Amino acid sequence: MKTLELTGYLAGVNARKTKLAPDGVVLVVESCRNSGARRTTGKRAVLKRADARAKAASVQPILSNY
Amino acid sequence: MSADFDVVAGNDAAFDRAMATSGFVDDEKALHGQGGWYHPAHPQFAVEQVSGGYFDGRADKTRCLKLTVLGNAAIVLPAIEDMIADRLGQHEVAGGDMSMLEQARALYALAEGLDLDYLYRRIVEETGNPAHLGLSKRP
Repeated sequence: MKTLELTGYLAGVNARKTKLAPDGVVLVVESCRNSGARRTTGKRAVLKRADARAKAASVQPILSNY
Repeated sequence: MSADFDVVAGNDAAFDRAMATSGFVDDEKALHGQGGWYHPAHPQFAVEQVSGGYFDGRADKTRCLKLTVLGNAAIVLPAIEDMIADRLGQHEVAGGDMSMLEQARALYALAEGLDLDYLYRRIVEETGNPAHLGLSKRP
């Protein structure tokens, strides 16, 4: 199994993203975010609880489309 | 990106103990009966143990990528080829959900050193269409 260090790996991804940006090859996050249309009932419940926990703790929830 | 992390664990009891030792607490169990956790310090996220084998036994686990974080801590991710194939398969099933296709295209664009033969095989196995990436035939 290939092993890399996380920080270096992310730096490489970000560098590649920056390099490709002028060509519009990599779209913004929102275009890639799961629309949630096909989520199972169980997954919707998990995401709803995470959303509620975040709000209760005054933490920014992660937009998950549940 | 969404708030959940899906995990495949080979040993349910050991994984449950490891999560507890790391400070995770039980979330309400999902309908499929697998484990669910969250960490009180990061309540906006959820961790869910998914049922079934790793990509239903079709993917090559030796291609996984281990990313070291701090000290001996690490996270093991699926190979990019398997993630791309999974998204393309979901796109075909979803019937017009473009987010899965855009995820696959973004991963394909950002990845380096892809094994195109393995990628093509996995896309077909996941009932995806390689043509969405410009792969019209087996490399």
